Amino acid sequence: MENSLILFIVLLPLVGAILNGTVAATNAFRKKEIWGEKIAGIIAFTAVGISFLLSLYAVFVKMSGLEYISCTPYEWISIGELKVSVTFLIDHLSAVMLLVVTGVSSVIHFYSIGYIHGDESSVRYFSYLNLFVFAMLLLILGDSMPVMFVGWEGVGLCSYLLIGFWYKDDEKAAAGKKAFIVNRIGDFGFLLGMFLIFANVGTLTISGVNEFFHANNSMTFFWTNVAGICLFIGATGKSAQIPLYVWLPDAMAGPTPVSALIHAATMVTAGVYMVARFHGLFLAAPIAMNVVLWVGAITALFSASIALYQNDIKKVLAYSTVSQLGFMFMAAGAGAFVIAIFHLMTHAFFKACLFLGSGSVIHAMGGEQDIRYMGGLKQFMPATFITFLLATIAIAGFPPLAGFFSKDEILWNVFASEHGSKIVWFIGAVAALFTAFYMFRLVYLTFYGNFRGTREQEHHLHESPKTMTVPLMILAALSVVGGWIGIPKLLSFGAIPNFFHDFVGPAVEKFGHVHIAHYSHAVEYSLMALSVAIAFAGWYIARSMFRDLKHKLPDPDKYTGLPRLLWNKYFIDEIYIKYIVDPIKSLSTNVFLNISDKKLIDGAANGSASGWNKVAGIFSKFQTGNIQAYGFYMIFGAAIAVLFVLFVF
Amino acid sequence: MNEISFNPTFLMGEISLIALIVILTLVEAFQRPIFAFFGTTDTRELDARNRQASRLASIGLMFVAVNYYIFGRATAGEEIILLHNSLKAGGGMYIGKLALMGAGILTVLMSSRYTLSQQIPAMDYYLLLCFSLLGALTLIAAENFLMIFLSLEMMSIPIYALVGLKRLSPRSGESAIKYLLLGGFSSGFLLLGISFLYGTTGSLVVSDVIGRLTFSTMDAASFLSGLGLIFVFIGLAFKVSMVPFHAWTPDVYEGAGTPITAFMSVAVKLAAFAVILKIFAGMDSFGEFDSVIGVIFMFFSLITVIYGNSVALVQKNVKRMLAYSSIAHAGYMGLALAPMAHKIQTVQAVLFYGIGYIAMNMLAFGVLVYLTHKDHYCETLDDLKGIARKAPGAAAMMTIAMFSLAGLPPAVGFVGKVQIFIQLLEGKMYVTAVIALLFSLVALYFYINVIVVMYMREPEKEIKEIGKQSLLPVWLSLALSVLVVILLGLIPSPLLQWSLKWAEVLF
Repeated sequence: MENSLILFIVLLPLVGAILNGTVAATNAFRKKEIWGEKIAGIIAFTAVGISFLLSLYAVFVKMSGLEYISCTPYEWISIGELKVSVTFLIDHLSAVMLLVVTGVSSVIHFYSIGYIHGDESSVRYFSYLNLFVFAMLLLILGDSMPVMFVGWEGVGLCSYLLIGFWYKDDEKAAAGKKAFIVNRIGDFGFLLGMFLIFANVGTLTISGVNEFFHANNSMTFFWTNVAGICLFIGATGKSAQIPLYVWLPDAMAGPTPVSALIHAATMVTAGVYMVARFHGLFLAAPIAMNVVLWVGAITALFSASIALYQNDIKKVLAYSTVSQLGFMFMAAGAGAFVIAIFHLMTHAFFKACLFLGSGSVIHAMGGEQDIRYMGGLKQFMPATFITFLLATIAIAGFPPLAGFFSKDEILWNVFASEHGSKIVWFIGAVAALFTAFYMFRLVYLTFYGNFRGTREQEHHLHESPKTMTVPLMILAALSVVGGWIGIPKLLSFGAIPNFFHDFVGPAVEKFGHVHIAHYSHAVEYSLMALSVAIAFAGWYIARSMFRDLKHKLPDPDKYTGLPRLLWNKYFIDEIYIKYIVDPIKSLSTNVFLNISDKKLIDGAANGSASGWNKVAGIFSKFQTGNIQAYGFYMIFGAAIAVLFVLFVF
Repeated sequence: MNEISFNPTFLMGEISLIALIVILTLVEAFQRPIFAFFGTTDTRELDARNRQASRLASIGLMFVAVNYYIFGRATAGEEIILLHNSLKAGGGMYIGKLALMGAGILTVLMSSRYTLSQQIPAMDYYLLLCFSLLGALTLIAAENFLMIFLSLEMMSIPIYALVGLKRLSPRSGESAIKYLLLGGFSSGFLLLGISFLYGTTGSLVVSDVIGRLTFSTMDAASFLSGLGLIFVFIGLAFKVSMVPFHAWTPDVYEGAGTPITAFMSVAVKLAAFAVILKIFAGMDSFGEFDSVIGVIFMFFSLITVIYGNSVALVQKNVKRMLAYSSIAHAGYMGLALAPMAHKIQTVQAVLFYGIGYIAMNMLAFGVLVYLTHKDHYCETLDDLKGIARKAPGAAAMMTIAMFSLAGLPPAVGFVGKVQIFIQLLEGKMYVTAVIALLFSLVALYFYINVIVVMYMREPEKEIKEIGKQSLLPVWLSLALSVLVVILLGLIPSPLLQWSLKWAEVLF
């Protein structure tokens, strides 16, 4: 088999997962553990680490000069027209994702060794974590929609298992379940899109689909757009966009490294990656592109505004993630797929760093997550502080850190692209202002001023161990320099090549190129200056409000007006529960349970159970759970069948 | 195709199964007199006798399965019709028979623990099971309607008894009576349908009947044949539990012993579906009547999918939940026939689904049997709470089973569902496909709920140690089914070929 190297990249994490999983299962039976958390952590880290090194080799050595390398272990399904082979493909797009995922995963696996220390089910934890990386690699490298879907489902399952990892806590298990159900709605969209494409295109390989829509799109304009929107619905589920974003903030119930890896750096970006992967389809579907653009923009602003008033350190970061994903979709919707992937990469660095930093803070605070009870932590944990600050500067968009280049380019493309819009640019600019504000608010409330927690917490404050701070430093360094590979030519006056664009560009511009309206350099420079000004404004407002916090922060329950709305996240959860969840619940309990299902004995004995009486109407007479009723159904069914026959005659 | 009245090599499997039945009967009947003859009495406890019976039955059935395999392979080259147009043999038929034998063997393996823990006299139980299996095996080979009817009854009557075999449980008796009466009712439909068909075509041989049916002139005779086909469908729809002929299913599944429930849900369903395919999905089209049959399959399958998946949502009892899930699966299998494409791929898809369903459902029920022991009856979701800590292996198996039943990759259930949906898409039935897809996502909720309960809930009461009785056979059955579920999910091409071979011989 050619390039069986790729197979090793994909399978190594699976091997790690199986090893640790088997040991976790057998440890439950034995008095003496086969191996404990230490070896489990080392195995998990080694598996992903080697996978990362192999990826580097594959991308920079094997693939140099080539458009792609691929490896086909076997044909999975072959039924009639449908031929699905398990093919792993590294092209210039998946290469970026591959390096980001394996790289960030390695760092976070290493961090987890310190973080999960002392937990009784840490072996299981590492097994899930490795399984996640495996599923993510399937998603990224799979060259056909069904294989991608396997990964898509797999990462969902792992995320769900890891959110509910400490299942002693009911809230956490509930959050896992919520993530699962919301994602099913997204999957429905994805599957529908897949159906539509298969029924019309006849193939499900990604290049085949893109080629079809680019070259000889025989689907009508309407159905092309429907297919695009269906796929995008799938993306909104996985990447937490409106209206399916509600699971992500709750998902923060999981262990912090999981939040960093799955719910910030990798899995949630799968939707963006998918849109970029199917750029051939999306470029042929302008309405779908517009939907992507607007949903992204609205989500970016909406969740950034929620983040303004949150007090839970992880919740702020969660809403920030939703908002940043919105930025990525804005870029994709404007047709700037390269920039979407660029922001995906820089975001992976600084958001993972922020989450791990918050994990370090929570670790030191003994589990406290409320920033109202923190403050002044910078003297206790300098390494965490510096790295957290660097990542914050990056996300806020200060040059020359990573976030500046990617975010500025997003705004520029939205402004100038033929698919973009000036209104969306404005929305994005406001969201960027909010981003700078809430991030610096977080930094000032956490690390500056006086400590506001209990005396006992203060006594225990300490810097985290090396296993946790080293990953922070790596990620902080990447947050600083990560953007330099994508410096726009304009800024360096063409002196430095835009490596990132040159690398990814060919892969996502193969099937059509989006036209960028021509503006003078002056416009571009002034927009760039405006981006910087926005970042400074956000920082300055936050600094003047929170730098030396004299008074206590107000009690959120006493908020009125807009702050109350924001603190309560626009009451979206409540609205969903009242208008969607509750009606479904009452439908299933009042209708399905009653019209269908009688318990054996009491049904037969008294002919009607108490709940049953509530359902009015003639049907109640037939639902006695006894044989006459069941016989009646059969007659009824037979009558319907005979009716069908009668229609013909 | 040759017509031979009798050729034993083609029937070696059935012959060896009958031999096994005879041996089991003789052992049961004569071991007491033999003990008496030597002046001792059989003082062994029920447990010991049950163990002996389980060993005999499982080894015997495996031997029969080996016979099926050897002689099936040997006769795969030609297809013949035996015993005056009664049974078809040869060709790929042995695939179907091996699938049913597999279901039988898995049932017996898990029964060895169940009969012990529930104090059921095992020899009676295995005898009835073997009879039912024989019925299923001849049913899929039956070539004329009389044989179909006889085999169907031979398969069903032992099951009525098996359902009621848990003598101490009132639910068991009640569900047996329900099943018996409604089963009789459905047989009535089947017989009426057969007599209509005989009346209009003058033949009982399936291929002749289908060939002679004419719907081009819409007269009284073709109306009668139409009714005949519909009634035959109803009789069979009862066995596969399609809505609204399903009503017995939840009660009987809940009341019967768990291994029997498992057997009913897979073997009976697959055998009855093989007959449905033989009659309705054959290469000969029904002319203008095709659209009616198609609508009937679409309508009943769709409400079956909708109903089964919706009602399963609110079940607290896992066996009952699996009963509704089994109803829903019958719906998916029926949906493949809705386009009435008369293609071999349709038959292949349904058979693939049915065989895959054997493995995954056996796995789910097997875990329930494994967790059930003398003082701990594992049936409801509450019983499963927190089981992942006490029995992590069983919980993992159950997770795989639920994944497969839900149709998630990479389990075999996914490939099965994909094929069904391809049938619908190729038949241009997009709305039907979307509804079916929507409800398979609804279904995810209750399947995954089982996983949630096992992994993320605290046990309500102290979970006792898993009993050690006859663990090995149960583990064996779990291991076999889990292997099938995962391997055939990852590499489905062998099963695709097998089901194609079987499909080729059905008509």
